[in-house]
Parts: sequence; C-alpha cells; structure tokens
Amino acid sequence: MEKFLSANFGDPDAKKITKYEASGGYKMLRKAISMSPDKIIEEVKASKLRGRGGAGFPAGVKWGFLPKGAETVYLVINADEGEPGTFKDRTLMRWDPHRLVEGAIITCMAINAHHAYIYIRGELVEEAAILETAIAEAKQRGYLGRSILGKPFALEITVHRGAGAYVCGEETALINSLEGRRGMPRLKPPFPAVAGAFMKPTIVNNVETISYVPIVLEMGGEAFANLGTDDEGGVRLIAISGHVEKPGVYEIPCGLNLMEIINDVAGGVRDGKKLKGVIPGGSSTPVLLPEECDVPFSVTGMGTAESIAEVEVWDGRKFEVMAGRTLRSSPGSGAIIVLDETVDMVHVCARLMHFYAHESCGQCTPCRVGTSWLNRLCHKVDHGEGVPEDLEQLALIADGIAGKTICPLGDAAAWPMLGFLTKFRSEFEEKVSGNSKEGA
Amino acid sequence: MEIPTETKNLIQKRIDEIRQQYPEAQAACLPALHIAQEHLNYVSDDVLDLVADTLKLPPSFVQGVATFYTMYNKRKVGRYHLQLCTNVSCMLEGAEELLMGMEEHLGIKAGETTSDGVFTLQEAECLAACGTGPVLQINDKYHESMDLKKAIALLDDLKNKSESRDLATPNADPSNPRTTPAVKPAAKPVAKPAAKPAAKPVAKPIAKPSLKPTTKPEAKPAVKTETKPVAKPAATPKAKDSAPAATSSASSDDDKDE
Repeated sequence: MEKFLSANFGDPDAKKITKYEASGGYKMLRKAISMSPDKIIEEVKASKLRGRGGAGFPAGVKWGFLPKGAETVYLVINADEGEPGTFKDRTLMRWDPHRLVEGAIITCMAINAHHAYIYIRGELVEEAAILETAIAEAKQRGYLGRSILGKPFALEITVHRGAGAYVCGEETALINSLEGRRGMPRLKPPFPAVAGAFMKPTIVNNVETISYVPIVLEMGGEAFANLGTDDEGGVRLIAISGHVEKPGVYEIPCGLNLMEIINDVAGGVRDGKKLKGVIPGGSSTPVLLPEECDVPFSVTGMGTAESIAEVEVWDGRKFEVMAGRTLRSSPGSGAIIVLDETVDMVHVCARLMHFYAHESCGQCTPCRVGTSWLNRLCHKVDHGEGVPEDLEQLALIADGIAGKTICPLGDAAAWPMLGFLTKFRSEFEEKVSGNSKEGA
Repeated sequence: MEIPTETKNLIQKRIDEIRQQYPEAQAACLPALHIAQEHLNYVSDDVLDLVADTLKLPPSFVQGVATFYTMYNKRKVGRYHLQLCTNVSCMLEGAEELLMGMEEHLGIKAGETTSDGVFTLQEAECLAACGTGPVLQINDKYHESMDLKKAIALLDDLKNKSESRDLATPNADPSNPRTTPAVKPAAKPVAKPAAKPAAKPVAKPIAKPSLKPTTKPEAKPAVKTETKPVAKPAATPKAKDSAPAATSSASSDDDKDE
C-alpha cells in the first residue's frame, strides 16, 4: 500500500529540511500561498479528514466555526499524547517534524492565525527539540517569520512543553495549561473557536490531523477522502501494542477491518497464543471480545456495528452515552492494545482505574471522588478481597460519573470500567466468589 | 536553600527570553518552572518565589500550578530520576516485574531515593512509547524495550559514572542541552575553557585524581561536551535546605542543589 503520512518513518535524515524538501516537502506551502483561505478550508472539508486525537470531529468543519473577521486567531496543536496505548504522534514528530510544520503553516494561513503553539507533553524532551530545530530550519528558509516566502503574512510557531497531566490532552484544559494555569478543563460554551487561548478564537487540532493538510492539498480533498470510508476520509495512523508479533505505528486506510489490522498488519497474536480481548482505541474505549473484532476500524463502523455488544450497566440495562444512544466502542486515538489468553482482565482494569484516579484533575466531584473509588474498589476485587456486591457498586459508580463532568475524563474512566464488566464479567465474579459481606 | 545569584540571573534571563513568545507573562509559567527545576533539581519555595517574582505572579498562583503537574518535583530527587511506565502496554511486557526487580536492586521502593542520592525511582503513567515497552525514562531520556538485565546494567553504569563525578553538580542533567543555554549549539570545541558567566567555579575542586571533568554521564552527540563548566566542587557547605529533602533517605551529604 502506498504510504502518505508514514513514508518517512525510519529514515533518520527525513527530519532535515533538505531531505524533506527533496521529497517534495514545502511544495504545498507554495501552492497554498496562491490559494484563498476559503479554498484551503474547502479542500480540507472535502477530504472528510476527522480529528485524530480521539474524538474524531471533522477538521474542516471545526475550522468553519471561527467567527468571521476575527482579528487575532491562534492555532494550537495538540501533541499532548497521553492516552495509554497511543504513541503515533511521538513517532510522527520524531521522524517527520517538517510535515507537521508545513501543515501548521498552511493551516494558519487558512484560519488567519499568526501564532501557532505546539503543546507537547513535557516528557517528550527529545521530540520538542526536534520540532524546535525543524521550526528554526523553516524560518531560515523563509517559510516562517515576518513573511512567508515573501507573502506579507507573519507567523511564529512556539513549542510549549506541558508538565505531566493527562487531562491537558482535553482541549480546554490544554488551553488553560498553555496560559500558565492548572490544567483544568473549561466549561463549553464558549468553545475554543470562539474564545480559546488568551480568550481569542482558537483552533485546537491533533498533530496527526495537521500533518495531513499538505497531503490533502497535494492529492485534492476528494481523492484523499476516497482512500477511506464514506464518512471518514483518508488514511490514519494506528499504534498497536501488547501481545502482537509486530507492535508499532502503521498507516492504514480508514475503515480497514480490525481483525485484519491485528493479523495482517501487526502479524497476529504473539507466540501462537489465543486472542482474549482488544482495547481498540486507547484505554478509554470499551474493550472488545475476539469475536467482536470483525468490524471496520472507523467511528461509524465501531460505533454502530451490531456485532459489538452494547456496554451495560448491569444485566439488561444498557449504558447510555446520552438519552437513547448506547455505547459499543470506538477507534478513539487509533491505539490498539492486544491482550492474549494469559491476561488477567481484572488486573488490567484495575491498572487503568489507577491511571484515571491519578489523572483526574479534581474539578468535578463525580470524577474526583468516583475515579478514586473505582480505583480502590477495583484493586480490592483484583486482590481477591471483594464481595459480589462490589461488582454492582463498580457499575453504579461508573454510571454515576459518566456524562456528569465538565470534560470527558470522567467518561474515559467509566467506559472501560463498564466495558470490562460487561465483556469479562465472569472474571470479576470469579475473583469475588466465595467472599461475602459478613465474612469480610 | 538560597539560590546563588548567578543561577538566579541565568534562570531569569532564560525566563525573560521565553516570555516573549506569549501575549501574557503568565503563559510562561510552565516553561519557567521547567527552567528553574533544570537548574535547581526541584521546585522549592525559593523556586516558586523566583518564578513568581520574575513573571509578576502571586507565589500562591505559581504554587498552585507547580503542584498540579507531576513533572515538577516537589522534593529533591536523585541525580538520576528513574521513571518506569507501568501502564497497561508496558505492564503486558513485564513492567511490574521489572519494577520489583529494580526496587530490589536499588534497595528502595518506588517513590524513594537511594541513600547516596544517586537514584530516585518512580512509577510513571503512560509515556507514549507503548510499542517498545517497558519504557524507563531516566532524567530526560527514554530507554525502551527494557528488561531487568538491561536495566541493571544501565543503573550500574550510571552509578559508576556518578561516582567518578562530583555529585554536587547542580541537578542539571549534563546530557540536557537546555540547562546550558548560554552555550547554544555553537559548541565549538573551544579556545576559552571557562568564560561563561554561569560557570564561575566558586571554590577549587578538590582535585580528585580520578576526577574526569569532561566525562558525560550519558553519551550524547559530542557537541556540547566542552560546554559543561564542570567545576562545581563538592565543597559547598551544608546549608540547611528550607524544604526538607524529604525522600526516605535523602542523606545529609546530598546537597547537590546548592
């Protein structure tokens, strides 16, 4: 399969501007200069490119939310990759930083932003340095600065390091963090497109999303869209880890069959073991049973596939994301974690609950209290000290968090909890069997 | 602990440069804390005051920010800050067993510092390198696809290096270009050895015969090898730290943030 975004992965020279230019880099910037901003946005809309940070919101549509004629607009690139299982953005920035820089410049011209911030998670010191070098190189070439290739359009790009907080991957928390505050999410509305960074209209996009922009211009929006499915255009990166033969970052057409990804792209389950479960889109997405993996890897595909059982709060009561909308699963941030037959699912779930309890920012009570409670209770069950009533309690707590918080971190904890309980209930039951309230 | 004026000036200069990139000074708060910590090992009350003062922010605000983020050390950490990811993908590759092995090897539990002040061990959340787990971050550098054997070899190596070095050197990871900004990539192998204002060795090193000044703990592109002032002798008198050095065992001879 032809590679678009990952063509330079593995080439240590690709991060140098000379090499990037030699392979056609920054040509699309030259093209974009002669295009009107509306035309660029049109192409991106036509590409059906969806945000690759996890929520999957159509990128061009998001750009369209900016108020017309806004004087100061910011582009903020979300490189706060923190969702457990996700490592595609780090890979992208390591190998192909100029594609991100070029995409950022074109995007800024499209949305009329004169300053872009790349908010990169603090731990990625090396990648931040790579980006800074790339930005300096681009500046030297006249792609950035007071003008862009002679066009009177000033643009600066600043790399801003976070400092270790998963919640800052949420766009409004990220904006608060960029502004030098505690990374607590803001209430929406106002949406960032209206009042974001420094209270100015702001577009927040994921690293991968922005990196596609030059490719979309080169191919044309429609041709890019045709690489994927009807509702989700183009290709995407997936990061696959856990018990597969070949873990790593791969580029796939949107909508490729999940089982095919595991078996053909990543070489199948390691050491001839049997597949037990798959966390399909980062730790926040509900886990799948092996028989549920024969689905297209896309938002619609995994959100509506009849073959994926709906997540339940308890037997017979379906969990609802909102009134009338049940939950199956999602390709999220494209992070697939493969679990083989040796894995203790309760233990995995408990580890995840520890993560969410650690990362809850503390702003909303249901999440602050709920995630810690889930963590304690889940570990109790994992250690064989739980009682049967605890399982119902776990479900109730999760249901009590979901949808009741400012940001999706609460849901991100509740969904996998309910997912594991729905799909691997017997393992939880086994751990509590024989224990009773009186005995404990 | 009083922050030496030189260090203070250097930090303030770096913060002032960075704040130019933002429409509001407050936005430089995170980078400022990073910078200060690179020089001073952890975010002490003095560091909070310094950052607050430089950015004209209330110290309470800066403290609120510093305590929100895990990367700002609330207590002094060892010369090598070991952070092992134990989240799911790394766990599937044996991170939990690795953590136990490292605890045993170092004789400390996660969250503690060895009595010689060389290592602080911590469990970390996902570090975005899940395809090559377990991931061990040592100061700024990732070490991927770790196992106990590799980890022990690495730790022993670092331990040896730290013994041949002067532990009183400020936390600033010598392999970290950020802490030696005055020098910039321009690292020419140098005519003038000293020169940098920041460098001023205060007292003469007690020239240990084996003291190899230019040895870097982590082999990095040769570039800035010479840039490190090195100097800083172990000589600093034991000033009482304002913040308790806290970790299980931070010993009294562990005063490298001076």
